[in-house]
Amino acid sequence: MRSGCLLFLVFLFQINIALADNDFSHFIIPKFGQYQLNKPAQATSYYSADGFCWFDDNLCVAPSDDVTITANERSDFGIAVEYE
Amino acid sequence: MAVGGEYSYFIHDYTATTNPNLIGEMRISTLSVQFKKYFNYDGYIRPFIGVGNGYVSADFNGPLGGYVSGLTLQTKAGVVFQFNRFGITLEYQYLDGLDVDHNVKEDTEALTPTAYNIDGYMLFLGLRIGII
Repeated sequence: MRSGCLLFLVFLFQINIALADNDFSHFIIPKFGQYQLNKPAQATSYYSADGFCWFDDNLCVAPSDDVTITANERSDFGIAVEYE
Repeated sequence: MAVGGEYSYFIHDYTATTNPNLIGEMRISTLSVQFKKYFNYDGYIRPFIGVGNGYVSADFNGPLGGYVSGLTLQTKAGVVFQFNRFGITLEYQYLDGLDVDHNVKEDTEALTPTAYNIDGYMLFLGLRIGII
């Protein structure tokens, strides 16, 4: 039935299920050297054959690969106004 | 047909798929103009489809850092269960960032991002309230 209203306020909350979770926002950052790395405090860096690294090989990014970032845990909400 | 505006905000941890040791946090905001087409407009159950166009920004911290922003295109489909002034809405949305630009933080290492892609699928449950 008609609500009799013309203006609506909509509150949206993310549902964390597999349908929406794993494919959420990701960044594709192409190629080594075209993105930004934050330097941790007291960190030293070096270039290796595998890429650019902080501290050790566990924080390396390969020079030839895209870097894709996927979300793990999320807290999402939205608010909308609609005029019918 | 309904027209309106939408603001959404996402905050979450991330992991680089190419290196699970690269872990940080992202905060994404979108602001867009929305157009929706409702079906069965006089009924309690109203399916809808819609599109949105607007602005998206993302600020991410951690081993990878920076700020990116640009235009976004949203497509959505869902259903509203409307009971007089109040309704429950279930909405599935796809967001695609277009022409996303960047703004490098000055206090970090001088590596310049040149291209980003932001996209994602979202499933929302919401409350729809008639106010006028």
